[in-house]
This record gives sequence, C-alpha cells and structure tokens, in this order.
Amino acid sequence: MNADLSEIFQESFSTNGEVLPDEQDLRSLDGWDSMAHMMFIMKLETAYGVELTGDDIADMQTVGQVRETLAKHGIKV
Amino acid sequence: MKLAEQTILLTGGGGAVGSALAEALAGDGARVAVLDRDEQALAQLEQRVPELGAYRCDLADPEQVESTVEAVHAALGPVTVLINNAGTIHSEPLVNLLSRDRKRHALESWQKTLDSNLNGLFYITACVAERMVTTRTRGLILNVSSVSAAGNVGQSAYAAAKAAVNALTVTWSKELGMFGVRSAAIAPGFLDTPSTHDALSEANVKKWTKQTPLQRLGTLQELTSAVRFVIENDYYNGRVLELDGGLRI
Repeated sequence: MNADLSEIFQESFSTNGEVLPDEQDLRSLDGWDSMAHMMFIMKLETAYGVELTGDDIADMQTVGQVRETLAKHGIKV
Repeated sequence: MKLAEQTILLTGGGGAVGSALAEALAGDGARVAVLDRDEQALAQLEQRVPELGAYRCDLADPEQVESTVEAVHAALGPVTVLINNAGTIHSEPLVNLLSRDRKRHALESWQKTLDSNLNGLFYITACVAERMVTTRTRGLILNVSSVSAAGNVGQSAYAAAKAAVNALTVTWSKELGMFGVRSAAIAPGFLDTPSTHDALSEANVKKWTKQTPLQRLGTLQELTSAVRFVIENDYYNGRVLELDGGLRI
C-alpha cells in the first residue's frame, strides 16, 4: 500500500496513517461508518481519476480488496 | 401543574427511557399509565413499579389507541399529561452505494419509522387532546423529540419524523393554548442508554461525546429533571427544550 492510499484511509477513517494489512476489514476500523465509507470512495475516485462501479464498491470490504479493485482499473498502489 | 396531582399517560414505557421516566414520575406521586407494544417489557415494569397502570398498545393502530385511551380514562380518570415518548431510531442513508443490490432507502423502513415516531404520536395526541378540550381539562402534551430533528446524516426518516414532531408541538401549542392545554417538546442529544449503544458503534459514541462541549453523554436523571420542569412550569409552551450538553451550539 503506498503513502497516498494510507493518507486516504487516514482522512476517511481517522486511522493513524499506518500501513494497514490486506486482511483489514474496513468496517472494523474505529472511524468507520457508512458516510465515512462513501467519503472514502469519493476520495479514491478523485485521487486516482477512476470511476468505480456499484460492484467495485460492494467488492471493497478489506484493504486487500481495495488494492485489487484499483489494480483492475490499472492503478497500482 | 403540581406533579403529584397529575394523571400521566406515557407512551413507549417499556424501553429504558420510558420505564425510567415512568418510575420517577410515579415516585413523585403522579398516577401513571404506560403504553407499549412489548408485553414482556410491560410485565417487568409492572413488577418493579406495581402502582403503574400498564397497557399493551400498538400506536400505529388508531383503533387500539382509541380503546386504550378509553381504558386508561376509565381506570385513572382524565389524563392531564400525555408524554409522547415512544419511538425507534432508524439509520439508513438515502442512497447506499455500499449495498450490492438495493441502493435506495427502503420504503418499508421509511414508513415504519414514520409510523413509530410520528403517526402514532398524532393518533394518541388527537385522542387525548379531544378529551382535554371537550372536558375543559387543563393539561400538557409533552413530546420527546431529538437533536436529529435539525437534520442528521444517515437518518432521513428519523430526522423527518422528529422535525415533524417539533412542528406539531408548535402547532398544538397555538391551537390548544386557549383551552389551557400546553404543548412542548424535549429534544435530547445522546443519552447514556442501551438504545444509544445499540444504534451507534462505540466509535460513534466516542465521536459524539467528543463533539459535545460537556464531553459526556446525558443521563436519564437529567432527562427526568427536564420532564419535571416542563410539567411544573405552567408558562412553558410551544418550545423545544434542547437537552444536548451543547452539542448543537
């Protein structure tokens, strides 16, 4: 996970900016709620210039799945 | 109004907030009837506070409301204070991108939330207020609202219902004031109750606590104290008392 993605996690879910493990479930983050998650999606789209589909969004439950989904769009993080 | 001289009908008496209010007001010497649709919760409350009258009633059913109010009237005499406490918190965004299938706010939960927080309140208030006005009984309609009435993210239905409750409070204060019937509301912020902890994650409880200038949740004792104030102060009318530790400053 690169620094930018860590920053997006930090801004969205008030994490400490640490590198989160791939198996980390987003919903189990302390700062998670559905609105924070929506904000996270919007920040990803803005930061990486990508438009995520409904399935992409539903697929992103863990940090690893976020990376995989971005990779599907040609973005390596 | 002297509390000990009142006949109080309290809805949602089976929950943590309702049962604490009922117990405190009965302890103050008022005659108290509690309504709830949860029979088990009513039985537990009756066991704890035997002097209460407990009535099973689904407020979403106008016929049940009518017959229950009649039964309370027959058992305890004219109701002088109606406390509309029943309600359920519901959180659901208008559009949920995280859901794979249905993304829109469900119509069923919209309707259910309005039934629970608004429609039942309207039915029972019309019923009780009619009796107050036609018998020239001075009284009080006290609605339990919420800070969410000002609009709260993820709570379309609940916020709309509570905003409507605030509007009804003002409307009724103007319509019924000439008959000596006051109408007021209390809008609590986050209270330290099981329903708060059920509705919010602990992280969110921490977040709201941090955003409250007093840096803590409210207590049931503080809500009870506000209820006593509104009942006993005969000049308090048409207002929503915000009991939120300064959250909405």
